[in-house]
Amino acid sequence: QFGVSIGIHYLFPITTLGLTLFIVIFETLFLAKRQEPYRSISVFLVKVLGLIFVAGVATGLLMPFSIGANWARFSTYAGAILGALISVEAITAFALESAFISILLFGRERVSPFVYWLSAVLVFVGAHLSGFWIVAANSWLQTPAGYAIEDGRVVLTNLSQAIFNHSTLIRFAHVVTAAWLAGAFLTAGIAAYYLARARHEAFARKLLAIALPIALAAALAQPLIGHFHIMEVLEHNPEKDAAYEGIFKSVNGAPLLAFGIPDAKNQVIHFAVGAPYVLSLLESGDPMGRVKGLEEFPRENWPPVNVIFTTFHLMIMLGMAMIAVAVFGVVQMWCRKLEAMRWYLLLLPWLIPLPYLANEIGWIGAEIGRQPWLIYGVMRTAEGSSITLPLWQLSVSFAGILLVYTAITVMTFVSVRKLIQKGPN
Amino acid sequence: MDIQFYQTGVFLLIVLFFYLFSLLDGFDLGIGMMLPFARGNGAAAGLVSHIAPFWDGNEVWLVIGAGFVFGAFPAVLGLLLGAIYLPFLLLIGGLILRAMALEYSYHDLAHQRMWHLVAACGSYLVTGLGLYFLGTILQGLPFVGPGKLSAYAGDYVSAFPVLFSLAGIVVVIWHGATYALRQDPAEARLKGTGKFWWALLGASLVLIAAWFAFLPQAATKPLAMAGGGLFIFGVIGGRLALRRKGWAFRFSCCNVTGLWLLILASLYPVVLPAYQHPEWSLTIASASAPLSTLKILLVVGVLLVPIIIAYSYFTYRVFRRPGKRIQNSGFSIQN
Ligand code: HDD
Ligand code: HEM
Ligand code: HEM
Repeated sequence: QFGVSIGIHYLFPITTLGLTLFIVIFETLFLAKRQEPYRSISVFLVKVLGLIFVAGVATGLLMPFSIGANWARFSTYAGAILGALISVEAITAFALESAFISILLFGRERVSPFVYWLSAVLVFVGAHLSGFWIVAANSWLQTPAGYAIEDGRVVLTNLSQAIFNHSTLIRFAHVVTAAWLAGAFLTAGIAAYYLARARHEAFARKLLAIALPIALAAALAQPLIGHFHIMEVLEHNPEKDAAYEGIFKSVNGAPLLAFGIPDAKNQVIHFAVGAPYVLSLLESGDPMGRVKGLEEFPRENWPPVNVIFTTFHLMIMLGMAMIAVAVFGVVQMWCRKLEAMRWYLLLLPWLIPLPYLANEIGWIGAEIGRQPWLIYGVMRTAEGSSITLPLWQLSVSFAGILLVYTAITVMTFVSVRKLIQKGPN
Repeated sequence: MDIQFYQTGVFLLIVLFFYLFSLLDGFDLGIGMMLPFARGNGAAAGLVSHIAPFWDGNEVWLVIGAGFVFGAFPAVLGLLLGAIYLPFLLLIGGLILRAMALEYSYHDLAHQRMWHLVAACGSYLVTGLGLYFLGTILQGLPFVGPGKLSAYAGDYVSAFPVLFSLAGIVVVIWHGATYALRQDPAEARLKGTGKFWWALLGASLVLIAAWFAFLPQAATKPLAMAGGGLFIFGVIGGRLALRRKGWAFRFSCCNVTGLWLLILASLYPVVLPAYQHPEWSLTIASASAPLSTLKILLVVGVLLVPIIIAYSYFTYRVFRRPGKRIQNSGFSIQN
């Protein structure tokens, strides 16, 4: 239940992060050059942001409460830390973001261009702060730090250790880059849509010229950041790493698998395709280095290997595909041949879902990979989810939430599409 | 300093957040609830335009308040949500409906009337249910043992919350109406608001009477007396100042403030009182998070509240140039 609603919620905030990046870029360009089409690009993106933002707020309102409701014991147990982080998120980030987004949405005629630009920057900061706090909370579940356990509950002992726990910064980098990638593919898709139809060409050309390189940079950065991320996982959640890579038996000179169908029961990966020794090289710097397999960990601490091996590799494949798309686009743009490639321009809008898919799959892998722990090494999921509600109430609420969330998603999708079709004027 | 200081501080801070929420989002909700009754071309859209830039920021106070409850009194949230999960979802559903409907009422002009009605439904849900919960908490929750709430829905139905909720809706609509009056003192609106004052008077009498009847021990505390006095002052002042621009709204703010003083007086030092079993109540001391968390919350809260208020004030200023109606970003998604 929570998984589904947050999965939907997540679609909107990442779009917000990506869009605010572009709005800040174009507002800055407009402030510096005071000419079109920068202004109309920003005006248009702000309109899209308005629709996305309200959907993000609408789907986000439920989130903190559903944590409290679905994991009553968990929230009492760990509220001292998670609650603190969520409070700080609300008071630092949501307040900032929603105050200044009113100026973005309604105030262009009422404030000077500089104040407007400042508001755009503040909304950008607010949105990213919000992402930071929530990622810190999530990272604390993966790699808890800065706490002690007293009287059967978690007590915060060191604030900065809890916030900047071992995985916060690297996870935040990975998530923000993923969000920018989504924003870049979205804006590039919009621009390509216009170019392919020869509409709003000046507008679309400028937008594409900025969106594609950002897409490329983000797509290239992602495997690099991802690599450091997996090194952190290896250190702090080793069984998860072994499951990601599909290594059951400890070996020297382990292969890096690119593809395979895992079979946890028989502890093998079928149809494995991979590069020998590369995993050992990446993880220990030595092609013959030893990689710990799942066999070294007690079976009851294994995460669901099949699921997370698959999601992890899907994410990476999607990442590679996006690099290919972006490299091709940027190279063609460099050679000034891009606009002749109608098929590419027609294709781009259809690729907008790729980063979203990778985002969702990445999270699902990371969350399921945390199983069977709710707080890694501290509390098991089964202990935390002491649901006191009767089954019918759960079913009713689940159906209701699903309905409302689906409606919001569909409405937002349809409206953004209409807005794009209608064009910037 | 000892833990009591922080416990009380954070408790007061949370009350402050809920107070700011009702003071600010109160007029958004009040205007939302007035929408079905707006007569004439564009009247409802005009009302919405008064709150369009603000409601989201105002709502954040609720999110902050809830976040702080989660952080400072995690047991309270778990307990409450476990017991009243479905009605609570309905309240959140109301907030969601209002958010989506307000936004789409100025994009999807073809169905504007429908969106206004949906926004009104959302506002009634939020106000009615929110006040009902508050009333139930004030009266005392049906505990069946220490740390255990009754799972039987009938135990949550009683007279005080019903009266509190109904009367409260009127107070909130009055808040919205006087806010609209402050933004746009048209003659027709003056007349309507003047008539509505009689409803406010009735509701206030009910409210005060209910307080004395059901919560006598609370109603006689000095702080409660002060709150009640301020409330009555606001009601009467609202009538007298009806024609002076902006003043009726200011008096309405007195209403809300007085009401929250009353609430604070009735509750403190208990967070979740137990009906007829005071020994099971969750008090500030027994429900709070560990000291280290309270410290952070209090420091962060005290530092940031003035900053937020300052920049919120700035955005209100931006949108308050006299005479100009607030234009929304002015696009519709029609083809
Ligand atoms: C507060 C921290 C937090 C954050 C930011 C997220 N999650 Fe999460 N997630 C949890 C806290 C959590 C949890 C409370 O710890 C759950 C619930 C039960 C569990 O096993 O972990 C969980 C479970 C959970 C599950 C189900 C796993 C299972 O039942 O085996 C999925 C699919 C997701 N999450 C997906 C997401 C997505 C797509 C997120 C992106 C926004 C996300 N989570 C952010
Ligand atoms: C436990 C998980 C989460 C909770 C409890 C949560 C809670 C919320 C709430 C209550 C809101 C609405 C605030 C408002 O009224 O403005 C919101 C919006 C938002 N959330 Fe989440 N959220 C969660 C996960 C995430 C994640 C994983 C991210 C990003 C990495 C994120 C980023 C945002 C952003 C940027 C907004 C602002 C609204 C928007 O821009 O669309 N949240 N969230
Ligand atoms: C191409 C190479 C990539 C590598 C090596 C990589 C690596 C990783 C790793 C190791 C994790 C697991 C973190 C954990 O379990 O704690 C992760 C999670 C995640 N990935 Fe990737 N990733 C790549 C590409 C992408 C792309 C392209 C996207 C999205 C556009 C993406 C989005 C995510 C998200 C949202 C998460 C969950 C949040 C987190 O735990 O950081 N990743 N990634």
